[in-house]
Amino acid sequence: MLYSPKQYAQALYDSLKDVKEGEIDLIFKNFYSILLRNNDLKLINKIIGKIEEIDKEERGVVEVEVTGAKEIDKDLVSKLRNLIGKKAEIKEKVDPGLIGGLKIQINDLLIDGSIKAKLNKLKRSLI
Amino acid sequence: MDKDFIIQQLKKQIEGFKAEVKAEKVGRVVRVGDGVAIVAGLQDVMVSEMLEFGGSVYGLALNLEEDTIGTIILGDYKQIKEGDIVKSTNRILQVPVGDALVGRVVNPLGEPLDGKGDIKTDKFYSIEKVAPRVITRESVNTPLHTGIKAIDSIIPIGRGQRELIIGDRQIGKTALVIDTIINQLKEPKETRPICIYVSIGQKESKVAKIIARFQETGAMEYTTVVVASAADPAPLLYIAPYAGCAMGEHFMDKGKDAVLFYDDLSKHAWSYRQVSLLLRRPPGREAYPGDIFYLHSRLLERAAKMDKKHGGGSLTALPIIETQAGDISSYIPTNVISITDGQIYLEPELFYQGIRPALNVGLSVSRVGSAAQTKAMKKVAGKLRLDLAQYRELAAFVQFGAELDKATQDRIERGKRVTEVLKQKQYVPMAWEKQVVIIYAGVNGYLDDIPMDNIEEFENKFLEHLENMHPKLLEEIHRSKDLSDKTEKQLQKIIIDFKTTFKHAVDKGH
Repeated sequence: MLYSPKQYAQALYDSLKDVKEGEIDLIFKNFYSILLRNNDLKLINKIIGKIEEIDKEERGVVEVEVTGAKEIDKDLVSKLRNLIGKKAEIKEKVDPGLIGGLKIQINDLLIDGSIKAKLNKLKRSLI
Repeated sequence: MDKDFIIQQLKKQIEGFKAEVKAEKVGRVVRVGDGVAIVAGLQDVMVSEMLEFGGSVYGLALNLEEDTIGTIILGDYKQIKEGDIVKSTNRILQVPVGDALVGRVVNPLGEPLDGKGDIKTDKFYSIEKVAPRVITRESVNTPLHTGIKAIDSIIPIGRGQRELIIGDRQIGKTALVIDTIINQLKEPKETRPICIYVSIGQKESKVAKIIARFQETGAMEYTTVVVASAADPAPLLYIAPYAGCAMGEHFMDKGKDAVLFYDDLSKHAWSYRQVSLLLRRPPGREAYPGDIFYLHSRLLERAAKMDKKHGGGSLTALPIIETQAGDISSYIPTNVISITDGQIYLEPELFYQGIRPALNVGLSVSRVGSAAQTKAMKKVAGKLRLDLAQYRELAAFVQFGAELDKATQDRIERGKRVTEVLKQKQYVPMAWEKQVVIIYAGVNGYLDDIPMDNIEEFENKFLEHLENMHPKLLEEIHRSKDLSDKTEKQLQKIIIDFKTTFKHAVDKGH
């Protein structure tokens, strides 16, 4: 039977949820031997990535990426944090290519208010 | 134009422009290569929805999986990098349709390739559409004249039919198609079908030659050429026939007639195989994916003849399949043969014997077309079929040089002459009433005493004579679509009279 990295990650995450101190080692050992038996050790990096995702989802953390043309104002960041409400993990990025404005990405949602995007739209409407 | 005027115009346009900031659904490219990309995210995407990669490159979502989407890229995939943002467009892939496309050369996305400017149309059809339902259809009843004697008489094609043209490479498959398109010039404008030639994976040089031929003859006036050449990425080849079909469907919906030529579906199957394997769909026989039959059946099913209530339009499909060494029993040929309403089989042996078009009359069939044949053609075609069948049976004896009785010898001679009559040069499609007349002469024994070498000359001179001296007779056949007793008698007299003068001329010549 083939398992996807997501399935492995979910299984490991669930079994680690409410566990006693001494059992953690045992669970990891078992998990390792299962991976070995299924010849799936190569998936370990993907599984770790998935566990992070699952963990964030369970704790209700939203990943937000804010990109600006210049260093982003601290006030703006805290305003954004209040707006999103939930536990927001805000990453700030600087990309001079945007020219101006802000680009905010929340999971799969992109709000592009940069000058670059507006210019692109203008270009499309002119041609 | 005035420089200031241009600037004024630009200013106006820019002033009117408002950039709204909206939340968009995005995904990221996980893997890209060979014309396909795997995208993570974009959870609400639809099957065969258009996706936007970066600025100008579009893709098509084909595989929707748990965390990722398998997409094919319609355009240059080399611009796309891992981690690029992919936007959904909420649009199923569409192509422009309408009168603006007639006379144009476009790519499968409907973008012009002929440098004649934009295609101005506000109508778009999605490339995948469910075929017309049974209730809306009608049986085939109007002929589509190809201008090729052997086809119009023995394997007639009706509007709304699907007739496969199958044969090896370099045997005249495309030639049949070009002749058919050129022949539509003879149709009156109101009933002339719009021709859509879809070139899939052909050499650009060949396509350029074909287009030049169309322009030279005036056939481009009612023809659209959709080109996905051998240099285009496989995803473009894969959507080409569907795009062409959508363009034709628009005319059918408006109650007009359209004819689609898919040149050829073997290469289409290859391109779909490539895309499927790259998307990691499981391979089956000859490494084609499991839905290779459905690929062609859903395309060809869209050809239809609509009934009066639904506009009475029609969409005829003439797909081409290229076989390898005459093998019509391999996977793709058998699939398409079973989907279509008949096939025109071209054979290398006949080709090298000089019988061109190299139609194998025995293996070629048209399952519905005879219902659409004109009465006049029906009258001569029945006899023609019989003569040819008898000749085929006896032809083996000719090679033995066996001594045969008079009746058998006569049959062989008749068969030879009729076969000679069915030969035809490329690029000279013949009006159907002329076909009727010359076949009539053949099957009624009027050519039996003309030497084999002179048959072609006789045919040319006789038709010329008819055109010049008796145009009324041809008009009468064309108008009534029938060969009445009166016209038949007239025709017999003309043939006999002409033969005496022809013989004189030949004797003098020698």
